[in-house]
Amino acid sequence: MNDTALLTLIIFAPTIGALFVALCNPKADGRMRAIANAASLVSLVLSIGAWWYKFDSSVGGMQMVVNHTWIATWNVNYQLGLDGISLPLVLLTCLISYLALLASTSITKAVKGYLILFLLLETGMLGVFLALDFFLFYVFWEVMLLPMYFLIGVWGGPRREYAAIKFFLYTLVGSVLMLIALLMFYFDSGGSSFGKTFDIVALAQIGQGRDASYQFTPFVQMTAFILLFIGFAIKVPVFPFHTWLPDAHVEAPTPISMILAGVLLKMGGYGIIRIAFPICPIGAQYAAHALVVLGVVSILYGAFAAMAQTDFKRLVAYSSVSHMGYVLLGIAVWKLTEGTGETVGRDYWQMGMNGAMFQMIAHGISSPGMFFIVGVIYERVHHRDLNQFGGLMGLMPLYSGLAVGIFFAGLGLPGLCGFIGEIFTVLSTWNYNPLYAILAASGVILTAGYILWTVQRVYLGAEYKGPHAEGITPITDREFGIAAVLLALCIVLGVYPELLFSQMRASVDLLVDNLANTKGLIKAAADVTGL
Amino acid sequence: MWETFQIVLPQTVLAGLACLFILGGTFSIPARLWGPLALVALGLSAGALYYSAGVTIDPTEPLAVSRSALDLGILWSCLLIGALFVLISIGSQSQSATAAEFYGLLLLLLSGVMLVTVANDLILLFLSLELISVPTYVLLYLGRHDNASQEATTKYFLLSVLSAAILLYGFAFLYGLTGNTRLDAIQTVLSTTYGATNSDTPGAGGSPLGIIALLLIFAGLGFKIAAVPFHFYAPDVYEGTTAFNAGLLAVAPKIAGFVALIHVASYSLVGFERTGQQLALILAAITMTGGNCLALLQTNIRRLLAYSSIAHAGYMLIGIAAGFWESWNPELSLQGASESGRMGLPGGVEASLLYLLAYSLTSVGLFGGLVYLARPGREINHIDELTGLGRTQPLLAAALAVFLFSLAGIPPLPGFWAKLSVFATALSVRQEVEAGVYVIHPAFLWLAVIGVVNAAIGGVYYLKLIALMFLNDPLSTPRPGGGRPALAGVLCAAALVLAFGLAPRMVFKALASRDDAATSANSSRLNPGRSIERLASQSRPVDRP
Amino acid sequence: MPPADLNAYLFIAGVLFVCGVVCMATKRNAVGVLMGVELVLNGANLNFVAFARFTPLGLDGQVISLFVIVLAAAEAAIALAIALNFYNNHLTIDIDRADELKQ
Repeated sequence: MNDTALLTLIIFAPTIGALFVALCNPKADGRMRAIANAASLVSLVLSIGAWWYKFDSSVGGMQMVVNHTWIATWNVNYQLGLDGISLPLVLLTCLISYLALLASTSITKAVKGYLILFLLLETGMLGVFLALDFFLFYVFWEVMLLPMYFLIGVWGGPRREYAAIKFFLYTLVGSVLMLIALLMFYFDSGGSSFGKTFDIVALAQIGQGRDASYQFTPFVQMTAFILLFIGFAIKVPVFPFHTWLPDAHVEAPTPISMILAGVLLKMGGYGIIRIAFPICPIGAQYAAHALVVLGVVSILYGAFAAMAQTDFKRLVAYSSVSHMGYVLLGIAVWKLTEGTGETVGRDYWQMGMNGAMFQMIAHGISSPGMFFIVGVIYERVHHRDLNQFGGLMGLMPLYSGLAVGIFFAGLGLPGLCGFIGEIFTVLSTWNYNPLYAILAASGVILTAGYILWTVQRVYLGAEYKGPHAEGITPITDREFGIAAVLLALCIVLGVYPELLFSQMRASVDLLVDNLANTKGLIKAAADVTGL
Repeated sequence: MWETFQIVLPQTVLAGLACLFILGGTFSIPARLWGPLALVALGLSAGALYYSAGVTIDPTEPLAVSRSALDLGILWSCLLIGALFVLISIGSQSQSATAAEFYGLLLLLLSGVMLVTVANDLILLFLSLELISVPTYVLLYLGRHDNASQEATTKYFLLSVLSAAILLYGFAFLYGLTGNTRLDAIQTVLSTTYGATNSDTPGAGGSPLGIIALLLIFAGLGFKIAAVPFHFYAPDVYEGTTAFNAGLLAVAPKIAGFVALIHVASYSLVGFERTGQQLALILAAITMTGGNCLALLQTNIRRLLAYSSIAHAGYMLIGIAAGFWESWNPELSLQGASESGRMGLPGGVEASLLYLLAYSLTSVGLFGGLVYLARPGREINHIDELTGLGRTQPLLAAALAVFLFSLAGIPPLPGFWAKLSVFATALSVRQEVEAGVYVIHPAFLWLAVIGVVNAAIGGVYYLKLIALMFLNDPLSTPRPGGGRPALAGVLCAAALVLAFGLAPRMVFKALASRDDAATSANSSRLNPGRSIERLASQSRPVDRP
Repeated sequence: MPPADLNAYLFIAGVLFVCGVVCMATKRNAVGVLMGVELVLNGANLNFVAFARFTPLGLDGQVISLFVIVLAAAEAAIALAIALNFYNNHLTIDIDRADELKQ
């Protein structure tokens, strides 16, 4: 299979599935679910195939690059590709989508519409991770927005309308800011040897001064970086742009919460690594300190906020804010010496960047797991009040075992996946500034605090204290399967992190090298302070 | 001479048939026939336009009309939008005693819009603008017969007359400055006196008369396009009239106003571009912000859409502002794209026209949906009346959602391409900071930022409507009284909007062909910036008897 | 006394224009407002005629003002029809009484 067909099919297999679902009789529930599962499975299998047979982990640059003209007048191309940064995220997206679709049996209202929107959402997400053309990236980014709005708004909890609108507007603000940056790059790249272009790889070369004829000016880089960062930070979410997240998570149905936490948040981090940093290194360097501070604040704020929650789902949502803080921290620990503009401790920054990527994947596995665990119990007892649980270990032993395992992965217990990313980012932060490292590390302790407290309140204790005690039944095989896959991945990545590091190391190292060698870094720093 | 008649043939056909309609209203012809007859009239006019499309004008001959390739596109769009308007009104007019007058006036108004597009003379332009206004007064009055409607009609009439007078006063100065009433002659005179090649400070304007004229023309046409601060009549008038009339007011004067603004200010007023750019920039910023912020507070659906239409005028003004800049910096606007020219990107003015087309199509559909839902004497007023429409009228609700998402600028709908184009033109504006170093013009960067923030604010109220339709349970079952043709019209508009959104290439191509048209001999209306040399070499004498 | 030059005419036209606008803004009577409109239109007319008279521009200005006079008559007809209807509904032509639509 050639690359065009392969990558296109990975993205659009769900869309084709959605078309078939649309043709079905709305009453044929089982058949529609089967079609949707099959379509999602096709993407998963193909992406694993692409990884196994085609992907070369020793190459740092883009692989399987596909380039076809889409809108000639604007020089927009249908340009796709994979590297060590996007591949793990594509695999994650396919896996989480498939599991979330399996977990969608609890959805019984308007199944047809739900499945169609879900599959379109999957297409949008995969497109974002595979696009190498900024315009295409933007279109997929927006395409993902509409299904998500309806999925939260129609199938969500009691305050679904408020949550859906809030989610939509936050993301819309972010994406329109991205639109300006996108147009700025487009027109400014006119002076380069590429001509006006949306090609992310070419734009990165122009931004880093690797293009012979033109480099984006510090003014453009700074302005665009601020616009892009706000857009992506809303998605990550970084404090203070995070307020949409608890509402959206709490109101969304369980499978959608899994997607939100597992994939959508990663799109913010991916955007920062793929677009904001490479294209605007001078702007990024200028903002690095602020980014580190925001990362640390997110970690601590998220942890404290999680500790104060009594709603189980809200707690997990705030834990996402805290965990994604490590991602930003790992990306941003870029230190320059005064005067020469040399990057100090490039190895540490590489470590931070690798840690950030690992943290994204680890969180992408553990947090959907946590949301799924919450969803399982919510379906049985119809409440999420942490003070009205207890004793589930005795009533649902298998479920509780899986739950405790997944929560410990989120906590960052050594031997589980959460640990590796956190330790890498914290260690690299020490090189940047020991104070921030200590603060970030204290976030780990806070996390341990609220998760252990939660485990104690929900699973331990003598007896179940809440309503609907009669509804508590052992978990079904399907539920067990979903949770077991996630827990297994948590363990595998925790015990053998090299499995993931080996795939992305070449790309991450190449990115860090390129950024560190950016032309005119120190001059920019001087110019900027002179402004 | 003969070409003049050929070019205005479609307009003449429409106006003549309109007179027949009004005469025919005195005979006892069943009301339900007039709607289809109006469609036939539009078809005849389209045939005339098809015939006259091949007519070429000798640019050296002083004619009162002119028509570029782009204008031809506007004319076809006008007929299309007119047909959609007729379609959505057929149901509600089928029992009306004044159907003949209604359609007669509608056709007259349409011929006015089409005359504005080809007018190459200040008198003709002014009279054709009045040809839009006068039928509008009567249509507003025919629509409803209560106090609110009376008030709306009175308000609209007084402000419209005032705006016409201001515009005329501006035209007087333009006439005094150049001694010509023909737009192409005005352009020639101004570019030989104040044009970029003959002036030390290009675009700054050498004469206070020209600046006064520019200000007055902006003010006069500002009423037509409902730009802040000339907007205040719009919400009251929309609220006080029927959904159909509100739709007509949201579309027809806006098309005419923008086309007139482009033909007079953007193309003809050479030498005053810097003033024009500053004016358009400020108007764009306050119009977008004012319209969007006030729309957030509205609960009456027509009032909300009135503010939304005000806001959209602001986005279109962004393109106008960038167009002015391109005119006095012809070499700069091509900077950094030398190898392939503009690569088919629309310039500022073309981006505005693209926006105008996207906006008009979606607005017709949106107001058409309200016409369909209304019953005789009972309009849809409060936005809550749309609650649960996704359940009770799924097809209509889906079409309305398409329109609303398009207005909010979600890809891949026309509203997105339009917004993209105007923001792109704003961000392509450069400024030379030192010799050979160009940076993005900060004022335009700010304008683009204000624009996208406004797009997000706009998203709030469009989304509120969509949430009402799809995320809430219906309060009652609506009994639409607009009839099947109205629904068909709305669905046609939705299909057009989707087609435009999914295949924007055609529209972009049509707009990009402007450059070719300007350099060919067929067109007498030129974008001044690109054609200064050509004009200078012609140095056509001011033709006077 | 020297003969009036172009500027004098322009000045008078400007005064007419401003008077008309002020009249429209302040008058409460619909007919009064209409008179303001006429003042503004005639200010513009005077401009056209003056420009045509004092510059070698031919008759264009005079022709335009003839068009405008006819147009003003047409508009006055519609205005009176509207005012009459207004009176039928409100029993006054004080347009400040029209305040049902929120400001």
